[in-house]
Amino acid sequence: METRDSGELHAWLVHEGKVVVRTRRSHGKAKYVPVDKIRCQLKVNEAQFFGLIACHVSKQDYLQILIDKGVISKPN
Amino acid sequence: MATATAEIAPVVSAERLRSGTTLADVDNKREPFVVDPSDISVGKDERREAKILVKFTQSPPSVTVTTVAEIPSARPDTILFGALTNPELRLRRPIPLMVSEEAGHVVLTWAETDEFSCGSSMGEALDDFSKAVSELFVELNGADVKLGEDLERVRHIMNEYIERRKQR
Repeated sequence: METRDSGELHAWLVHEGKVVVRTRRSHGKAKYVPVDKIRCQLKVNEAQFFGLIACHVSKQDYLQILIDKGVISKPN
Repeated sequence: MATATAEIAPVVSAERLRSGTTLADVDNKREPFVVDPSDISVGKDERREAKILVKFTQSPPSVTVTTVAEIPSARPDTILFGALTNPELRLRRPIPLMVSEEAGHVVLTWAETDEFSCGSSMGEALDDFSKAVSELFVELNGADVKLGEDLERVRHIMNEYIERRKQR
């Protein structure tokens, strides 16, 4: 995923030239990170989410998850 | 067995003790003592910082703590957001947000778009939401941006609620 830090940390995934998933983490005063909300934005379940964090889920795995969920279409 | 009754549930860091009866393990202490809040299981995985003074007079050495009242929350479960701070944008109509509390923080969720914000207070969460939603609107409506199907749906929903102010 590509990231940008503009006071907040933004992350997005570009697939075949299109932004297909995005999320952000606020850099506000609050230290709390609502991980469940970030997980929803990334369109993954809990196991997949922690797999992403631990790098057990590769980019190819993640793309397959997004294909299975209909977020992106199968490659031609 | 001694019973300690709290007329009003203690409030710590915006968290509330729910009403109910809980059992605190107090070992063999015989003197007045303070129950370690971590020994009081009130709800699912919740830990309390409240100190409850218990005068221990009987055995066996355990105590039932009954919280008889739950402080009603002034915080609503849903709100209509209408305070966009970006001067270049305006709301066509208020945005419905769900209000929740997680680990003592206020979390606002725009369910239709999966957009959220959080803060240590409602004001901070609203401020965070205003910034987040403004930035997302600008990003999704960028001239060169190509969006996947789901983000295109998000952009469409956002454009029903937000628009750019007309230049004079």
